[in-house]
Amino acid sequence: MVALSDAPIDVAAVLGSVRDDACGAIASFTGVVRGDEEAGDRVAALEYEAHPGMAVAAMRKIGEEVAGPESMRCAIHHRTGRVAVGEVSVVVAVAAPHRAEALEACRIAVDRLKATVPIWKKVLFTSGRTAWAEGTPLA
Amino acid sequence: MSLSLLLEDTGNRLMKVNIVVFGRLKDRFGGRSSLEITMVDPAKLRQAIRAVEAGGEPLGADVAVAVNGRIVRGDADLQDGDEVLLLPPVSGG
Repeated sequence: MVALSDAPIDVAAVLGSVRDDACGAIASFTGVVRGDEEAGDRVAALEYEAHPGMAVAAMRKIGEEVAGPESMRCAIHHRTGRVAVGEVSVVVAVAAPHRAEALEACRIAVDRLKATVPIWKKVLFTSGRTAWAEGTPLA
Repeated sequence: MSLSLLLEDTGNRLMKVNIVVFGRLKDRFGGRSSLEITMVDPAKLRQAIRAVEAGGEPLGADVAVAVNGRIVRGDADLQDGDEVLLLPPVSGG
């Protein structure tokens, strides 16, 4: 239910992977690379790197924590490598019997993903300049 | 890149530890993501960190340290062949 890959993410497939007859709600978050402009320089892409073993373990832990009850399911797919503006960098999907717990669990999973998974991104600008993104210290 | 940390000539055997860095810390090592250091056995994690910091800025309190994939707080014993991971603030998503 978790994946870290340098291949494009199939959003529909991730949503489909959490489908369950006991679940009437699937909440999802899709992160897309934003074409920000900074002092006349435009973002061209983000480049993600990860510690694969620790990142997959951290994503699994998030899934187990937010979809604790047996009736809920969680999937998290994150890109590595170069991801261009407009491309999907991450998808989180949570299925639950009802919408309230699906939406809440999805929000918590995204927050934890950003704070606890060993993934780093470098911003690649059209000028050729690069900059490491600010991050959250691992607690 | 290879650093040697010979604390004292005790006749003890030498051991190798692989330091792996991520994110902005790679810039500190000229774009490299790992370096091997040679230490005197027995060695402590704190000594390995000190060897990495030698001649540069301290790593900073926002850098987490893991040994063989497990986050370590404080000091720890290192074994020959251990992998020490230096993890700056994370920025996935």
